[in-house]
Amino acid sequence: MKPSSAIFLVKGGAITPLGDLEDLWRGLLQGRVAFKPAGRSRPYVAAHCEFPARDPELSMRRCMALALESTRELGPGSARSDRCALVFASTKGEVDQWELQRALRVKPLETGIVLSEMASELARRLGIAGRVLATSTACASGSFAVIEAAELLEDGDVEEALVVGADALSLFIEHGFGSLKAVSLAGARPFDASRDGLTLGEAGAAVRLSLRAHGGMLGRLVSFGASNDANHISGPSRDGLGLALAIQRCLKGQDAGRIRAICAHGTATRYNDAMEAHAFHRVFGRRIPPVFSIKGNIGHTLGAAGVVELLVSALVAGRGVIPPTAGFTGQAADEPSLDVVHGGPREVGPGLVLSTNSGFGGMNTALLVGPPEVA
Amino acid sequence: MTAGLVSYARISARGIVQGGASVGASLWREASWPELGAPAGEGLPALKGRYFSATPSPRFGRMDELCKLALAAAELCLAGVGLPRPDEVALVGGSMLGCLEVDGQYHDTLLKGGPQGASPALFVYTLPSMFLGEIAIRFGLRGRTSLIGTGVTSALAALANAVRLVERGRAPRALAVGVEAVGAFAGELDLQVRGTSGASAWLLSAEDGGLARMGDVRYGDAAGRTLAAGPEGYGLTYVAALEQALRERHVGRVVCGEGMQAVSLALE
Repeated sequence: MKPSSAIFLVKGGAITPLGDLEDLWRGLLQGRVAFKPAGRSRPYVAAHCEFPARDPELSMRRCMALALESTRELGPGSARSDRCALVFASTKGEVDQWELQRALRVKPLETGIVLSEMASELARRLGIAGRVLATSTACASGSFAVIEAAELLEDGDVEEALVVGADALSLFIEHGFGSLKAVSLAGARPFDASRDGLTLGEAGAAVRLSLRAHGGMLGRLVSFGASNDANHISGPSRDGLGLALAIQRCLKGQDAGRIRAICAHGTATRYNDAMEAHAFHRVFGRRIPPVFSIKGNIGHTLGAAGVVELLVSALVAGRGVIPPTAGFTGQAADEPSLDVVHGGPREVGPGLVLSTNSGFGGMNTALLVGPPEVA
Repeated sequence: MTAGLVSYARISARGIVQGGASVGASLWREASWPELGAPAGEGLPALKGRYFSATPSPRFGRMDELCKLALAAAELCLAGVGLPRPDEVALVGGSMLGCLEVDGQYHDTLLKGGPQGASPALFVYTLPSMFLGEIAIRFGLRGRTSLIGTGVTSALAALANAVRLVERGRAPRALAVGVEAVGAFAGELDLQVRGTSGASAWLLSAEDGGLARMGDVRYGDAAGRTLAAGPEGYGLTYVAALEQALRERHVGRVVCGEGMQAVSLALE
C-alpha cells in the first residue's frame, strides 16, 4: 500500500554484532561474519553485540540496553514530545532479565517481559510523551512496527514516530531454537545449497519517521504490505503464496522494474529460503531483482531484524551498492533460481529496495524503500 | 466513513456472550459454561473445542491457553457469518500479558531439565502473536496480521486499529481479538493491575454491520462516555463496559484509558 503522504526515514541507528550502523555497513561490504563455528562446549553459534556498559543498572537488562543504545545516534526529534510516537518491536522483550530473576527466585519479578511495560519504560527514558505501543509479530515484528508507525503518521495522530526494535540473546531463546533443530552447527548460509539452519543474533535498531523532509535524511518509505500464510503455525508455506501476497500489496501501483535489490529475510533455514525463492518467482517471474541477506553476517536478530534490514535497505537504496551475502556459494538446483549477490559488493546505482520479513504464525511483511527524493 | 460492527463475542469466567450476525435477529445471546456442555464449577473451565463449534479445529487440544481462548472467541464471533474474500480479512490482536503463561511453562522445562529439557511443543507458543496464526489458519485469513500491546487498553486499541483499517479503506473486513491467559506466572510479576482470563472478538466490515457503526478513532484524552474498568483486568479492562454501551445502543464517543494512551471511538 502506498501511503497517502510521503514518509521519510529521517535518521537511523543500530547496535549490531558488527557494531553501529556505519560499522555494520562497512562490515557487510567487507563480508565480515560476526559469529564463529561452534566449539565443543556449545551446540550452536550466536552473534553477540559488544557495546560499552553505560549504565550498570542495565548490565542485567540487555534488551533495554540494546534498545537505548540504538537510539543514541538519532539526536532529538523536531516534534513536541507529545506529538511523537514510540512503536516498540520485540519478540520477547526483557526475557533475559526475567529468566535470570526466575532462576534466582527473585520476587516479585521485574515486568519488562510484558512488551507494553517495556515500551512504556523506554518511552519514559527517551522523553517521548505521545502514543506508545508495543508490536510483536514474531520475526516480522520490526518491519510491522514500521508499518504501524507509518499509519500513525498518515492518520495525523503524531508528527514523528520513533520505531525501536530490540531482542537480546538469552538461554530461553537459544535453547528454544535448539529444541526446534532450527539452528546451524556451522553458521547461517542464506540461500546456499548447503544451508542447515539459522544463527541467532541480537541487536537494537531505531529509525525516526516523519512526514516532514529534513536535510541528510536516510531515505523514504515508499510503500508497504503485509499478509498471513494461513498455512502452518511454525513453518513457512511451501509455495510462497503468503509472502507473495504481502509483496504484491506493497508493490500495488509501483513499477516493479525499478527495484534495484531485495533485502530478503534469508534466515538460512531450508524451508524459509526456499519459500522466499518461490514467492519472488510468483511476483517477479524471471525478472527478480538481485537478492541479498545479512543474516549470514549478524545472525537472526528476531524482533530487531526488520528495523536493521530496513536501515540497511535504505543505505543500499541511497548508496547504490548491494552487500554480498555471507556464506553463499551456490543455490540448490531444485529451488527457483535467484541472483544472490555474493563474493563482493555489487554496484547497481541508487534506487528502490524491497525488504521482506516472515515469521512464525504465518506473518509476512514487505517494505519498499528508496532514497529521499524517490516518489 | 465508518466501520460496521457485524458480530461480537466475549468469553469470561461466567460464560459467553455473542452479539450480531452470529446469533441472528435476537442480536444478543448469553450462555453459561454448563449450557455449553462444560462441567459446572467456579471460573473458566478447561476449554474444549466442542464448546464453541460443532466442527472444532483438530489442533485445538494442542494449543496453549492463550490460543484456545482467542480461537474460541473468534469461532463464536464468526459462527454462521459468511466471510467473503478471506484473503483480504485483516487480523488485529491485542494483549497485555501475551504468552506469559506458556513462557513460564516452557521456562520451567529449562529450569528442570536444562537445554535437553527444552520443550519444542511449548517453545513454538512463546510468541505473543501465535494466537493470530491459529485464527488465520482456522479461517483461511490471509490479510495483514498484527498484535498491539498498550497495557490495560490493549484489547480496545486492537479494536480501534481494526476500525481504522476498515474506515480508511486499508482492509474491507477486519477481525479484532483481545485476549489474556492468566495463571500463576502473571502473579510473579510486579504489575500494578490484575485480572482474569478471557477473550473478545469483533468483526468489522466496510459494507454492513447490524450492531453498530464505529469510527473517528482518536488517541489521547477526549470528551465522551468514560468506560469503567471491569473485573477482567489486564488488556481486557474496558471490554465489558464497551459491550454494555453496545447493548444500550449508545450513540456518541466512548473513551477508555488515560493521557496519550487513552483510546476513544464514536458509536452510531
